Amino acid sequence: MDLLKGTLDVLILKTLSWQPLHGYGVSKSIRAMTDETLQVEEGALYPALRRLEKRGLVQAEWGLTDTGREAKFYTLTDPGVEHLEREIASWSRYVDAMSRVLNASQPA
Amino acid sequence: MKTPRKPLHGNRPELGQLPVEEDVRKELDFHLEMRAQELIDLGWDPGAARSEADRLFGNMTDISRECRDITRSADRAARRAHRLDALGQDLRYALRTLSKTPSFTIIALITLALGMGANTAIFSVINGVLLQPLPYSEPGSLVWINEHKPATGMEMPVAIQNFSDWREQTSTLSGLAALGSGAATIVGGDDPVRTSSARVTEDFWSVMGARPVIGRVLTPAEHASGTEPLALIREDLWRTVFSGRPLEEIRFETGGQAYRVVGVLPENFDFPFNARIWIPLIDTGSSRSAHNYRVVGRLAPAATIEQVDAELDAIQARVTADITDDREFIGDGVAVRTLLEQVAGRARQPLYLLFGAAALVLLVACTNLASTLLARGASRARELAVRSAIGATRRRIVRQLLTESLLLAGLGGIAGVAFAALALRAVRALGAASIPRLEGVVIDGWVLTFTILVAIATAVLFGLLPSLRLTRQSVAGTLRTGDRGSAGGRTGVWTALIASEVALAFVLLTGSGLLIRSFQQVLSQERGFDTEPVLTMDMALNLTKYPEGQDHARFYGELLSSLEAAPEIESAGVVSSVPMSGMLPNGRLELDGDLSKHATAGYAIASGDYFEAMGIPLLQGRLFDRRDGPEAAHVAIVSRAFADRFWPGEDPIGKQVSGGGMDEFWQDGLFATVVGVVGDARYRSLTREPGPVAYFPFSQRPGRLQYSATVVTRSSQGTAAGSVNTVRQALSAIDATVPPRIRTMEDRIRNSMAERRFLVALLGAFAGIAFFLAAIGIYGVVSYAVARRTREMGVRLALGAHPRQVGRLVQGRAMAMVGAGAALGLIASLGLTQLIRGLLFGVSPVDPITFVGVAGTLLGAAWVASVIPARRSMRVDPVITMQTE
Repeated sequence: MDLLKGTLDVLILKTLSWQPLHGYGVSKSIRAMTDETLQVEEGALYPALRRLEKRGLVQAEWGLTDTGREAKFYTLTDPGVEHLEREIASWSRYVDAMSRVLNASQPA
Repeated sequence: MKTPRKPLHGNRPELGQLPVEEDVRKELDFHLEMRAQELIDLGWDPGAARSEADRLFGNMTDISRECRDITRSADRAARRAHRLDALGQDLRYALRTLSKTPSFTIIALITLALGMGANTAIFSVINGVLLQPLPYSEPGSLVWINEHKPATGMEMPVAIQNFSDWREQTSTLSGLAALGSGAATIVGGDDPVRTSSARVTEDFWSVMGARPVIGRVLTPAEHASGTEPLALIREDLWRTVFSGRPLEEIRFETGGQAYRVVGVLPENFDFPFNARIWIPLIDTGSSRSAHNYRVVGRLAPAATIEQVDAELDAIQARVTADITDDREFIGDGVAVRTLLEQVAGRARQPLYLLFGAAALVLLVACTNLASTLLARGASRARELAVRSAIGATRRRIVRQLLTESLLLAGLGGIAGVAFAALALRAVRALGAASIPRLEGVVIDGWVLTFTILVAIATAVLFGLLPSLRLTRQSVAGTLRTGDRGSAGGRTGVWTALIASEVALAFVLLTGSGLLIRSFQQVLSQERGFDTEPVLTMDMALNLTKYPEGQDHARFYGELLSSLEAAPEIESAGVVSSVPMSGMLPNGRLELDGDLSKHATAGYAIASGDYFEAMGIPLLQGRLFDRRDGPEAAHVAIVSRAFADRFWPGEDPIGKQVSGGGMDEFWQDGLFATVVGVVGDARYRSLTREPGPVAYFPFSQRPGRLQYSATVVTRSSQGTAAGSVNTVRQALSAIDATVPPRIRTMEDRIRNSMAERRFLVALLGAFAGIAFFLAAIGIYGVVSYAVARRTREMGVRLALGAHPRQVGRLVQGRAMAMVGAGAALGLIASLGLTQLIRGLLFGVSPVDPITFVGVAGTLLGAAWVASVIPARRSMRVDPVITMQTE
């Protein structure tokens, strides 16, 4: 299943809402969360991350991983948190509406 | 205070620590390695794992480029924001500083508003008059052509046959038209009105690209003689005089001819001669010496003015090659210039002169501000030292100080534009009679751009020197010596500033002084006629109603006797051209009953009482009177210059003179006998020596007055203005349909000096501003010096110096600076006043009275400006001064 346009940003923000992560971590998380049903070209993650950074929704910083390797970590900023909340709310409304339509019986 | 920097990009904030390329490469490499490792952990072969990781990743090249681009653009945005942030901070700080010293700020703003306002106003005039294109279609390729005599440099209007030859033979012009000016009295509108009119040849419409708002232009066939007379009128005339009626209903009469109107031209179409009526020019003559027409042409595609000049020169030389008779009245070549140059060219010198003067005013303003800022800066030295001690770089502080200057200049510029808008009203009123196109002068985008550039240059001029000097001082030294910092010590800069201010003011004052003296000289010239009691009334009679010479004679005879009967009028006369009307025709007169002897002189038709009314004295013989009826022997009166030039040492009375070719009222071989000699009068301009003039009696050739006539009355009660109503009533009692143009002689004089007055008034205003600013500057610097040196004064007084000595010391130093400036200004003026040599009259560019006067005024003002603060230094109480330290 292909990823809907614009949804990658929400997935990234959601992933980062638990903890700061490096890009590889984000990609691994997304794979795990979606049980690999969503096919993301893994490289596409990085421009998306940088765009989010440019918009001030995430902040990047070089740091060390648990194994002592240098990696670039991304943290959700306050505006990022707010943005994510708005996105979740709107997704839920969308999904609700869609499922009501799809599960509806023929109107009388 | 150092601005805290916002982190720009993770831990790459100090750009360059980790270049974008490396940042991206490291991040993506990390991903690939980790992914490959993950696959290996799942049991993949290491080599296969790596290529699988690459495959899963996608297009490495594209992705890393995209990453780099995003980050770079983010960096740029961040840097911009950072700069804006710093600018905002500087501006806020500057505003705070300026509002802390409101009196300084207000004086600085007034100074700048005057300086920049003067420049903005003059530039908007230059822009509107000299730079903006004319309001015709493709105005850049329109040219104006005169006949030219290279030997004397004289230019003259064009004779019909020369025009026809040029038109037929030229290939560098795509078209050219001859233009005749006239004044038309329109009957047939709601009221009779007199308005300027133009007669034009058939190519006029295409050459000018005239587009009527209603109706059409004329076809070539309609310019032929014998066709129905048709006309175009201007929109404003159509609306006012003809109440915007449909064209089919509009007929009007002028010059004894009835015209039907076929088109209306837009109101801004004022070419030529500011005409409001255009009628066909029909001249079937073949004269090469009657210079009756103006010529406008349009350059052929790719042709240049030089090519036109060369080509028409050659044509003119060819067609006149065989002519020897009357050669002095025939152009040997042509003079070609752009139409814009023709319309606005004469305004160039005065406007550029004023532009230069305005620039000097601005320089004075800058100098003034620089010295004030320097003085102020000295007391701010401590503040700046503190800032630099806590880590602000010199660059940062200079930037802060320059921001203050820019802010001041910006606010001053805004005030200056407002000032210029007000000043432009005055300039328009003042220049209306002498500067063309003034009505189109506005403050537009170009002007505002100019003002912004000027404001920036100004800020750098007055702000850079003080900020560089202030930031040069050592931090430690300033902090130690406290407020009594070092800046007061060196006097070199102060001397330079004050001296240049005084020198600039000196130059402006001399320039305007010389022009004012010239103005007085012009006014005090012996005119040869009276001004105050004289009223003039230009008129032209409707030729349908007054077709013959005798009708004119009857009309003017009745009018003059009715005027002379009025008690407030001493005498009344009529003349073909009055002084200062610019209309006295100059031409060839024959002498001594000999058709081969001739004189070039002014030609006027006058009634006998004209001389009395105008105050032109009879020197010899008699004036015209009842004896000189139409049937009597023809007589003439000549001016003294005429007699002296053409009959030197002889008795002019009884000599013979003929108007020859001047008009059709002379038959071949008819001569008039000179019966009187009158004084010389300056007809053309107050600044030109009176030329020879011959007068012929109105009673013997009244028909001549159909072209132009002016009734002149002399008031018995001193000034002329009081008799306006009498004159108007007398006229309307005889014929209410004649629209007169009544003006006092005083008005005509004033009008003739309009350009001079414009220059004198504006340059005088600029000099006044510069003078005022220089005085303030001197006062400010001396006050500052006194304030800074209170302690030194106290010590001197404590050591026994007399207060007066201390005062003299302070003032002496100030006057030395002023003296140096005056000397510099004197030297500069000696050179610069040569530039206005052409505008002077009766005054040498190095006129000692002006120079001494200016030096005296400046030194006197400097003395007053410095004595006030110097007095203050004498009142210093040594005890108090020493204690406060």
